[in-house]
Amino acid sequence: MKYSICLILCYLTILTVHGQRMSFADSARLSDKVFKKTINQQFSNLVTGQSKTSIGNFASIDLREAEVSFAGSRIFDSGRVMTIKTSGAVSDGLYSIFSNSKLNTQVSLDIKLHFLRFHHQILGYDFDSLVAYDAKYEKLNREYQARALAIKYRVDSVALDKKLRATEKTINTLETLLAISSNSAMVKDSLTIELGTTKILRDSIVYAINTLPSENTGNRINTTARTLARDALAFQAAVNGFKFGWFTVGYKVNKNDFKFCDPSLAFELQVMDSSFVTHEASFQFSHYKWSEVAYQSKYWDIGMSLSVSDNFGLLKKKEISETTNLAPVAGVRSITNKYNVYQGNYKRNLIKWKGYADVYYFLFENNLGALHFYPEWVIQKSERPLFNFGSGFLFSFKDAKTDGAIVNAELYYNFLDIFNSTEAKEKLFERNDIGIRFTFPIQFK
Amino acid sequence: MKHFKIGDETHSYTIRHMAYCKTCHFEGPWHAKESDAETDAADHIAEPGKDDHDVRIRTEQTTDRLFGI
Repeated sequence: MKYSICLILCYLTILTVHGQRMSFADSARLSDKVFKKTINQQFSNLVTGQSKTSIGNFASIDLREAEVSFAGSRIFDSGRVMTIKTSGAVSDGLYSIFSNSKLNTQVSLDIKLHFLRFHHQILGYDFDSLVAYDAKYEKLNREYQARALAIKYRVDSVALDKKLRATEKTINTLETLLAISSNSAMVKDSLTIELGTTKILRDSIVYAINTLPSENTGNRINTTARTLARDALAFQAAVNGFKFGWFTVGYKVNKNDFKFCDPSLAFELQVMDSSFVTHEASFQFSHYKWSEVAYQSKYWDIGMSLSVSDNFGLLKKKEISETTNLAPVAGVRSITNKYNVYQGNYKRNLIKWKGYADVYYFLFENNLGALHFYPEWVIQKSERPLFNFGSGFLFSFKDAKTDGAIVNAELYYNFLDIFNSTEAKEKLFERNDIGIRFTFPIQFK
Repeated sequence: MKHFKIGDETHSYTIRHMAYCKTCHFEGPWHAKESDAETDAADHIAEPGKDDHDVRIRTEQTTDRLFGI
């Protein structure tokens, strides 16, 4: 028993000595509040492309096409971000979503809710920045405490009283000097000016005394000033790396109007107006590791979506021109109307499940380029499963002042139907989709 | 490992430090103590011809949730 007690005492002594050896630098870290605030802000910047201090919403209107689009975001302190994107046709400045209980033409709505995952968040920064930040933070605290003491012991009031007494003493002296008749006119003028100036000073002191805030008000002002100063002390600029993941739940509705053409029908029925409302629900997990050091940044996501849609994408686009003669004699004068139609085996109400993933590996200084791979697995009702595999090279054109991405252009090569489940005649390298696109899932740094 | 709270959940954090050189992109090993990374930085500058290198200490702070998902 004695042996055990001695052992525990020795262990505690070692722990204490070890604790005393820890320097300030070894125990310094970002406070929980600043850590969370910094991560949340980096996250909201990524997801919305906006900083928290800006409004975070924007709307645009295209008068020529009579279309309006709106993108908004709501950022919650808990690390959740909601984004909304909507677009549609306008008439007379009105954007009707429903008309006669039917979804309006060209309307699309995309709502996403992003949840930041708290587990395993990493923030990287220069240690010197932490020390400098801590010093500023401590200075703020000391100033706040000093001010609180000054309010408690009415330092301002006492100082003003003292100043008022001194000023009144000066006024008495000046009045006494003015009363001496032997002084010359020039001296009296100088004394009069001095007396007037001192009286103005006295009045301002009296005003300051009368308008001094009460202790409660003074404390409230002091606390507000500290909060504002703390908020202004941003740590964002010191961040040189981070890593975190988030979940995204989304819902999208889109109405597509088009003209469908079936040449096998009678002339009047060949071209018909058609429309379909697509609904899509999605769930995704994303993970982003960003570093200012070249070749260390990565982004990946994995997700699935379930939608009720049509096979509009598989239809072939054709242009039709219709000619109407204005006179009974053909060829004299006519009106030609040109418009697009779609042809093919059109199917509606297709339930489609899609599993997908994206992997980006960033290259070069300032992450100016990235390799992108994106497999996709599509299962659709009455169709055989499709497996597509895409790859691309992303170029980021940055703003020289802020380093933020202005345009992300990606040259992509998409292998369609890798396992040829549709039994197409084309070979693997011929079943492709090659092009340039200008989108990226997040506003990467 | 130390514990702290975000909201109602208890988390732990780990912190590690590394010397790195902005001039020649040297990266030292990660250390739990900042003073060890400082030693690496001093050793790097002490190498011949590297007295003008801009060596910094990179710090990484990690959270892990103790309870819940």
